[in-house]
Amino acid sequence: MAGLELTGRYWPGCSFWHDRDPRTKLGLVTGYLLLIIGLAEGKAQIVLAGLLLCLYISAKIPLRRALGNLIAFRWLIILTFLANLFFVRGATPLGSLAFVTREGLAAAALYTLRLINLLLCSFWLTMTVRPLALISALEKLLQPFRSWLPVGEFALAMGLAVRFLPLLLEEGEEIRLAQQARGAGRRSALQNLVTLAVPLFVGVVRRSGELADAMEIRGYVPGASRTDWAGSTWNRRETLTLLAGWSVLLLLAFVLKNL
Amino acid sequence: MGIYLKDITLVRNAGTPWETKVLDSVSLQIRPGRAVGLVGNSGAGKSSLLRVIAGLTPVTGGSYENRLGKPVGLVFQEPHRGFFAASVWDEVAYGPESLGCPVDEVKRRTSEALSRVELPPVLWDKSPFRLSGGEQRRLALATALAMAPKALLLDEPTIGLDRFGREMLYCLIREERRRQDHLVVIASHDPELLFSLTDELILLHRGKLVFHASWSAWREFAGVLTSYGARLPAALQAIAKLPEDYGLKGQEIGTPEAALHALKLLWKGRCKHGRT
Repeated sequence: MAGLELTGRYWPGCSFWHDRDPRTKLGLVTGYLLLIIGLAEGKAQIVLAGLLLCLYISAKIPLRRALGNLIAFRWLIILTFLANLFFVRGATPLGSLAFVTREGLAAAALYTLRLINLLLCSFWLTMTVRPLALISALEKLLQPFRSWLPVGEFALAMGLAVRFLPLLLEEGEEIRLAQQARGAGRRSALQNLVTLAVPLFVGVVRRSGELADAMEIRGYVPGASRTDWAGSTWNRRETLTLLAGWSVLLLLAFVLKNL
Repeated sequence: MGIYLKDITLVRNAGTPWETKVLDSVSLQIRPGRAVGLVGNSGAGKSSLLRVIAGLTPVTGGSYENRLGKPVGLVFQEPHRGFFAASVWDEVAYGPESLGCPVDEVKRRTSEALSRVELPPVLWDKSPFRLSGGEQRRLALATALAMAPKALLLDEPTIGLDRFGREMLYCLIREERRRQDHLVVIASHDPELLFSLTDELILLHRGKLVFHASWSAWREFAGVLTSYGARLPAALQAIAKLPEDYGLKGQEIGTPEAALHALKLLWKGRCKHGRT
């Protein structure tokens, strides 16, 4: 599995944030994302980034691990920086470089920082909530719309997709190793890709059929109501956390706006 | 009562160059309280027949009737391919949840099924994909048991099981067999398992039913069974090799206990007559 680690993968742990209901974290992260998008000051983004790092520390997630997630998005981050640096027009040239301006550099720094903050905030959520719990939380939040939205089916499809992503990666790695053992390394990259993709695709189709059978035999009927043994974990503590979190975010918005 | 199959035909990729007849005019009746063994070479259609019996695969021709009712429990040959939940507990609870059982009932059935297959609580929070092969097979069995099925269908249930796992499986199936309104079908290449746990045997060959007989009629089908590449259980093989004057020809030997008893009697006779 070397090199196939999923970005933003759940980080098992025992912290205040790990114990919270996914809906609480979803509510707080939504507020935080709005704050990141809404504040157009570099200083504000720096404060928000600092606060995000504090959130990672309080969730007992190693900062190296959290920041490591950004590697997968390095090209997007670099592209955002360069695009703003070269295409934002300004009046003050930066030194002898006529095509780079101070305004461009400021915009590049702001938007890059904003993008990093958005990514870090999303990763904080996915690293503290199990994927299926997150989908279950979304399903619960969308319940009021179930009369005109196939909420159950949507949650199931999302859940299965998330559940099987690591397995597909594992399966792909197994096929790759099996082919390597038979001398696949001597072929071109394109040939290797084709020989990997075909069995993987066949495997996915086969697995999906077997999965459908397994679900059907265990009584799954699309759209039918099911018992949820876990029930709701929402309690007063969750309400207080959410209210306190939103209050802090409002206060931050007010303070950072007037920086 | 029971499950009835009449002239069942199952064709895959019909109307294409890859058309394959998986099952060909299979007729059989499985009555409640009975355990049936399915035997045949690889590709004979055992797994497909199990899926038809479970009501999972729509048949191309013939009629299928399940007068036992639902749910039906089916444990697949590769159980890990049917897992999808986040934890062992969730995997087992999925069935009772789908049946709409109350929360307490879901919890009771789940913990009971997991205990019956001897999966310790320390594994209940783990991902099903992180279990060993034997543990995954136990888990698959637990998912079926949690649904309190009217019919329990097992496809090669002993693959990957150690000695303790096999003993657990034997106990479980014997418990299920005691329930008169239930039936058990086991597809396996293991004659000892089938002889120990089933009352009847079905031989399939290239999608066709060769015979469906009670174990007590083993002398009649022994030749056919071996000619199709299947094997008799060791005890019956030993008895089959005895000359007729040993006096067992007329005895009904349809269970491992009866076979063992007969062999013990023979051994005593040999000692008595100084022929050891």
